[in-house]
Amino acid sequence: MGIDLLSILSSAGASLASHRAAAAVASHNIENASTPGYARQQANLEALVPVDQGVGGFIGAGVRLSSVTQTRDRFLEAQIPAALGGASFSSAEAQSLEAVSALDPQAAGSLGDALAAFYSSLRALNQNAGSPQLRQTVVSTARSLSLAFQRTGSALADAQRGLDAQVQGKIGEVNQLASEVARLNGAISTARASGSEPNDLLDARQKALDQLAQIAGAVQVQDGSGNVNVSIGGRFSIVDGNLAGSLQTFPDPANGAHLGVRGSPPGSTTAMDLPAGALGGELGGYLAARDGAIGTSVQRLDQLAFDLAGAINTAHQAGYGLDGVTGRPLFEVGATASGAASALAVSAAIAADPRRLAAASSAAGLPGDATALQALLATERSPMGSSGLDPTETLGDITSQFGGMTASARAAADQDGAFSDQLQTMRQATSGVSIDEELLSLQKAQRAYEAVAKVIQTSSEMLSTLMNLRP
Amino acid sequence: MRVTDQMLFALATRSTGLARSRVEKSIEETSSGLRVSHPGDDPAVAGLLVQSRALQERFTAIAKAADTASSELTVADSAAASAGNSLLRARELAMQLVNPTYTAAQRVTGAAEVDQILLAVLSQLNTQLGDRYVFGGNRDATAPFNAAGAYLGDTAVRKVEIAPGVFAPASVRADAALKGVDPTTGAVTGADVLASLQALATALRANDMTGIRATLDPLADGLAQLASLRGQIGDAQNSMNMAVATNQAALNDERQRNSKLGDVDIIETTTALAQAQQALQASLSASAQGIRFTLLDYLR
Repeated sequence: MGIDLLSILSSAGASLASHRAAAAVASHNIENASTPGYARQQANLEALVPVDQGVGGFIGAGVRLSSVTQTRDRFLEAQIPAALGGASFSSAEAQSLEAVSALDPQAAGSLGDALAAFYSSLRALNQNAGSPQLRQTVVSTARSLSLAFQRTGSALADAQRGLDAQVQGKIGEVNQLASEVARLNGAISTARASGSEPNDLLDARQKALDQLAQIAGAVQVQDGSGNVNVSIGGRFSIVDGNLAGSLQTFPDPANGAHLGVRGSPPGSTTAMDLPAGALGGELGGYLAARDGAIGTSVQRLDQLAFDLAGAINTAHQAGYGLDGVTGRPLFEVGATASGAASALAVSAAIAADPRRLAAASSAAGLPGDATALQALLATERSPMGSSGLDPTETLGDITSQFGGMTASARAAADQDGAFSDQLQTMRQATSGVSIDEELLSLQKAQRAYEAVAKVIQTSSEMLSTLMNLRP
Repeated sequence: MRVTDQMLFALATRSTGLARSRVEKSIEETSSGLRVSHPGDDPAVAGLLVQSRALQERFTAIAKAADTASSELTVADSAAASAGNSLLRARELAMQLVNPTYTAAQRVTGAAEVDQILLAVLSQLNTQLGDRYVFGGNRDATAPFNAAGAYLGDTAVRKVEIAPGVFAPASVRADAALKGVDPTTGAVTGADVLASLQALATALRANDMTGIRATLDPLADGLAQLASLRGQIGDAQNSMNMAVATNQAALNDERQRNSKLGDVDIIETTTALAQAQQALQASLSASAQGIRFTLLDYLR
C-alpha cells in the first residue's frame, strides 16, 4: 500500500503535537530556572518507525514524544545528603558558639576583670586592714565577683536554652518533612503506575530529602519499588514507604533538663531515645554546641566557682573579723559543684556588716593584723583542686578550650561548606537550567513546528490539487 | 563544564558574601582596635589575654598598695626625725644644765622645756595617717603611747605585698626604738627614751646633778635607737618605692604584651581593609559581568 496524502496530514498533525510538547518542556524549564530543587527536564523525541513500505522504500511516519525525563547524576546525588548534613552540622555548631559572648576575653566587666578586682581590693585592705572603707570595697568586689559568675553562668545557660528552642523548632520541621516524603512516596507510586515518570513529584521529594539531610542528617535509601526510605543516625527509620514516623523532645533529667530527642518509628507508638551523637545536620550541630563546648564551659565554670569559693572560705574561716569572731565563710555556695556559678553569693552576715570580714589571724591582732588576708591573697596563685591551675589560669584555660572548640567548628564549617557547595555546583551543572539552552530548545521546537505546519500546508495544497482534477 | 544560570547567581552570592564578610571583619577590627574579640578568633591568645588582664590589675594593685605604704612610711620617718630632733634638744639641755654655773631656777625652767619636749615626742609618736596610727603595730586604732609614756601598741610589723606572693615590712617597731625592747627576744635591752626624758625633767626640777648626768647616756642611746628606727623606715620605704617602680614597669611590659597579643596592627588592618574593599569591588564587578550576557538580548 502506498503513502496517501491524508496519512501525511495525519502524521504531520501528530508531529505538531510532539514539537508543541518539546516547546512546553523548554518553557517549563525556563519557568523553573530559579526554583530550588528543580532538575531540568528533557523532551525525548523519536522518529516513528515506518510500518509500511511505500514507493521503493520504508517511509517514516513522523515524530513522537517518547518520554520526558529529568537530568540527575546519581553519583553526585548519592553524595549530596551526607555533604549537606555535614555542612549544616558544623555550620550550626560554629554559629551557635560564635554567638556566645560570655567568655569574650577583652569584654569590659568580664569575669576575669571581676576576679582581678576582688584580689586587688584584698591587696588594698592588706595595707590597712582596719579601714571601714576598704572593707566595704572588698565586700563590693566580692559581690561583683559573685554577680560576674552568675552573669557568665546564666549567659551560657541562656545559650543552652536558646539551642533547646532551636532543637524544638527543628523537630517540628523534621516531622513535617518526613510526612511530606511519605506522602510523595505514595503519590509517585501511583503516578508511575500510569507508565510515566512524575518528574515534578520526584523533584519535590528530593527537595524534602535534602532538607531532611540538612536538618537532621537523614540518610535516604531507595527500595526496589521506587520508594525512598529515610533513617536518622543509622538506627532510627523515620520514613518507611508511605508511612512516616516522628521525633519528639523531652526534658532529659540526666542532662540538666535540657531537651533530649526520641523517635517513634512509622506505624508505632513506641518511642526510642536517640543519643545526641546520633543526630546530624543542624539538629546535631545545635546539640553538639549545647552539650559540647557550652556544656563543658558551664561545668568547668561551676567547678571553678565551687573550688574558688571553697579555697577562699577555708582561708577566711581561719581569720577573725573586727568583732573577734572567727569561722565565718566569705561566700555562700551550694554543697556540690553543679550550679555553683549561679549559686555563688557573698555571705549574708558579711554583706550586712563588712566589719565581719576576717583579716586578722588572731583576735589579739585586731584591728590592724592582715595576715589572714595574706592567706586569702595566696588563693589567687594556688592551684584549684580540679584543674591544677590557679583561678585566673583556670579561667584562661576555660576560655581557650571554648575558643578552640569554636575555631574547630568554624574550620569544619568552612571545609564542609566548601565541599557541599562544590557538590551543589556540580549538581547544578548537571541538573540546573540554562536559560540559553532552553531558549535554543524553544527556538528549535518553534522552527520544527513551523516546518511541520508548512508540511501540512503543502500536503493540503497537494490534496486540493488532486481534488480539483477534472476528467 | 555546563554552566547554568543558578550556578552563576549562586557563585555571585557566595563570592560577594565572602568578600562582604571580609570587609565587615576588617571594619570591626579597625574600629574596635581588637584582633581577638571572641575566644574563637585565637583560642590560645584568648586564654593568655585573660591572664594578661589579671596580671595588669595585679601589678596595678600591688604598686598602689606599696605607694600607700611608702606614703605612710614617709610620715613615720618625718615623725621619727622630729622625735630625734626633740630628743637631741633634750640632751643638749641636759648637757648644758648639768653645768654648775646654772642655777636651780634655771634648771626648773629647763625642766619645763623638757616637759614640752616629752609632750612633743609623744605627739610625734602618736602620728596618724588618715585614721590609723603609724607606730602602733596592729593596734593602729588607738594612740600607741599614753601620756605617761607607756606603749599601748603591739609588737607586730605590718607587711605589704611588693611582688605577687612576696611581702615586705611596711611598718617599724616603735617600742624597740623608744622603749629599748629587743625585737627578737622582747627583753628590754636598750634605753627607754620616754622614761629618760621624764627622769631628766624630774632631776632638773629637783636640781639633782647626778640624776641629770645619769640621763645623758640613755638619751644618747635613744638618739642612736631613733637613728636606727629611721634606718629601718628608710629600708622599708626603699622596698616600697622599688615595688612601685618594679610593678609599674611590669605593668607597662604586660600592657605591651597584651597589646601585641590582642590588639590589631593598625597599618596591617587598614591595608587589609583596603584589600577587602578592592576584593569586594572586583567580586561585584565580576558577578555583574557574569550574569550580564544572555541569549535573550539577541533573540528576536
